[in-house]
Amino acid sequence: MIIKKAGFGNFTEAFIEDKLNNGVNIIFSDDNNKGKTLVIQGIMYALGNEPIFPSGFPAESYYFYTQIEINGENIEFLRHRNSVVLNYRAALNIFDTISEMKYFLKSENIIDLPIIMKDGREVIADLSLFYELFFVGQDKRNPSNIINYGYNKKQDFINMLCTLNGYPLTDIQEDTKEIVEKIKVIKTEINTTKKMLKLLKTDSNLSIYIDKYSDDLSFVELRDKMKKTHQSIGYFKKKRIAEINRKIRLEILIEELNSLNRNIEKGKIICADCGSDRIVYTNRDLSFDASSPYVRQKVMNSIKFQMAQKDEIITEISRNIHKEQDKLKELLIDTPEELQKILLYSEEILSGIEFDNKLNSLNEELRTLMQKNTSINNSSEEAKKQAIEMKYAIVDIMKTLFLEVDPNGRLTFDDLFTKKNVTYSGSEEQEYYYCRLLALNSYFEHEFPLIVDCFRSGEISTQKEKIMIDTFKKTEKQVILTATLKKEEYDAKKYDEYDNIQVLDYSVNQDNKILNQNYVNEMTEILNKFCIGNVAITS
Amino acid sequence: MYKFCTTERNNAKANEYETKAMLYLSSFRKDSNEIDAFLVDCFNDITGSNQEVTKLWDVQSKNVKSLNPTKIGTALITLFQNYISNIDFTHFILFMPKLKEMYLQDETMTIYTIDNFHEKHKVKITEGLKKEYLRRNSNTANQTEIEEFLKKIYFVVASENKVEYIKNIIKFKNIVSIEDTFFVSIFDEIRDKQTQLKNIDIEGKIIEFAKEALQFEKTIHRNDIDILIINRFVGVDLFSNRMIPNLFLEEIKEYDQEERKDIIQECNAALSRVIFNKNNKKHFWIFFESIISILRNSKCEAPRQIYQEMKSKSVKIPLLLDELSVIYLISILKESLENDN
Repeated sequence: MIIKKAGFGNFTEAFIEDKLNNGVNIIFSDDNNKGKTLVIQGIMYALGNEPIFPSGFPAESYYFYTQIEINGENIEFLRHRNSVVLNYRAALNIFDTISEMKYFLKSENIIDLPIIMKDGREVIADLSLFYELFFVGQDKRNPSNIINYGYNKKQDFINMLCTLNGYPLTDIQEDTKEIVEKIKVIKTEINTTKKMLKLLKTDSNLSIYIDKYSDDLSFVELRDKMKKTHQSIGYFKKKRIAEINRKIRLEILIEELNSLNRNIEKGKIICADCGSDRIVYTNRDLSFDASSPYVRQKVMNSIKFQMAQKDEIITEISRNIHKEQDKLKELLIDTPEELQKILLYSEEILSGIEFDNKLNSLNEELRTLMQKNTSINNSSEEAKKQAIEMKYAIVDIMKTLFLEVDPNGRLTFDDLFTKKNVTYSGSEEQEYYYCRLLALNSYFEHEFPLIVDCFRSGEISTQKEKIMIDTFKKTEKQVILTATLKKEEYDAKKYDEYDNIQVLDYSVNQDNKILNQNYVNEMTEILNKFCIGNVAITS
Repeated sequence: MYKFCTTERNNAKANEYETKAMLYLSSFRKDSNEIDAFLVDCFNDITGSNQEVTKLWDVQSKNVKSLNPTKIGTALITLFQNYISNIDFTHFILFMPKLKEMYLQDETMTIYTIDNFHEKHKVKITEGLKKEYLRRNSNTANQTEIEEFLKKIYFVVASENKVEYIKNIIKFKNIVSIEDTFFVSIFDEIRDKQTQLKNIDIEGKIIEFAKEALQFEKTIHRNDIDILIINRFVGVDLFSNRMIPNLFLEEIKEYDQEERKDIIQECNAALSRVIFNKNNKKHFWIFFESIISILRNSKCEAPRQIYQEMKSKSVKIPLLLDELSVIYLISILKESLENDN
């Protein structure tokens, strides 16, 4: 991606920057307040970033325009507050929220935003989170967290890197829970089947035996009794679940009703009689309420009564279940457990169910489930391992980069972010961001430009600066840096000594007044292209 | 021309008697069915009117414990002023408690004319009225007019019991099992509505014809009260353990017992959500009124058919209700109101 042109303003004042080239660009000035940060933040804002504009800048009164080239295509972004219009493939796409635009960029494959796990759900990474991959702003820097800290957190950034790395971190608990449950059920079934099989095998005459006695009256009677008891236990259990569900629904209903029973409507104070100071309360909606407090109280009481009733019913059903179970026990008091099963399954045995086959298919099912379970666990383990390896790899690059800039430096990195209590002094913070930005770039080899607003903050020495700019040049991609120069540096035209660098001097801009009349015509053309008319001014 | 002037600004709260007077008009008279609406605190405490506002039942309610004939005379002043006004009133009624002393010939009567008073008390009544007229208008009332007027007055004795007034309006099945506080609560609701309407100020406003009084929106329709009571009946019955309406059983006979229980519970839940929702009451009443009007006029028997009729008439059904719960509501209404008419 290359940033080709950017600007911001409206129909009365504007600024446009169209001199950015594909290599290293340095925007500088001899003093602060020349608009460097506005331009940089404006570029990113138009692209959907969370803005960190200098305080007092009324961003809501302006349009922000950024033109980029990505995947060989030109795309223009125009943002006003939270609405963005995208000029893409000769069509205007209008988004009322940044999220909408995010989904569009992802679905159109313009930017392949990574999918990350957030709060147990898979979500597309926010643009503001993604942009921290290649953009370092001037303000709110904090090496122990991401700059746009808020909804997105440090862990989200790391999750995003893992996804980019090809091994997304996942929350496996939900996925495996269901499988583990299923495995349990199948294991029990396998056990029962095995027992049946054993019985059948140990006594090969069993089926003949059953066959013979199945016509015996007492046998049939016992079997039917048992079946009946089992059925009624099943029936009661079903009934109990239904009642429990009803009770839960009533509980929820009570909460719902309480929340519905709030009056949102308001009356208003009006003058009853013009010229008179008498004011009366009026609310022309004089219809009765849809229910009265008496009725509502009554309904609530009835619901609570029903719930109490359900409790009783549930207890009663549970008692019935126990009764039936006791009956069953009594019925079979002298019958060995295996025989009980045979009694229960006798019809199936006679009907010729192939227990061998059943066992096989059960085992097969179990195997598949176990495999699935392990593979989920393995891939999660693998992802964790990969995450750690990725971290070390990036940190190593950071260390190397740091030694190049500052061979005698004390700084040491052991993670992408610092620990909370670590504070960097002076130039260290700047060096950290420099190392991280370039390390991420070299590790992921991403296609985005590198943008650092105020890349010399904290008094980076001229020598270090030279190394940094050289390194930036070596990336052979678009780099946009800004810097405020001291008077002697500025007078010495310090950036003139570099080859192949685009230097943009903003010193000529008036203090606090980067926006001016000169660009209004061009801005108007841009706005017109986006079908935005000059209404505000003519009216 | 008729100019509204309020004499009692001191009591903004509608008293029980004014509500009773309205409910008396609403269901205790032979001609109650002719009355379509009640004008609250316009011409008088309560004035009933037919739909075209061509017939007016003018009621003064007087809740004074020890009414004597002179005080009765004084109390008649607004009725009399209306009698001699340019607007035609059909009936003149003084609504009052049972008289304590021996003023009457037949004390058992609850509705009577001036002839039920002993002669000497009639004179007192006339005097009381004349005196009040003089005090208010600074001139003497026309004797013949007063005599003619007094012949037209009906004196109606109010019952002390709020409950009766509500019970009389709609005939419900199962009415016996309902406790009195329920009826009292409805009575109070209607009274509070009356209070709201009383507070709309029309002092000094002038109209030519009675019908113009409708513009002040100080009106309660008789049907509103009917519908209100039916609604409250349905409300208190939700989730009560009463039988499922037979008509609805017919509708869900395909389901097994457990499913039926779930359906009934869900219908009750849906209806309670609708009546608990305070923020869409206008729609709700339009819907509820349509249901009852269709129910009363439809030849269809099955609740589902009535539901279809509602759909064909494009009755707007509250979002919180699904098809089955509307059919359930129709079944309940149809069964409860069977004897109504």
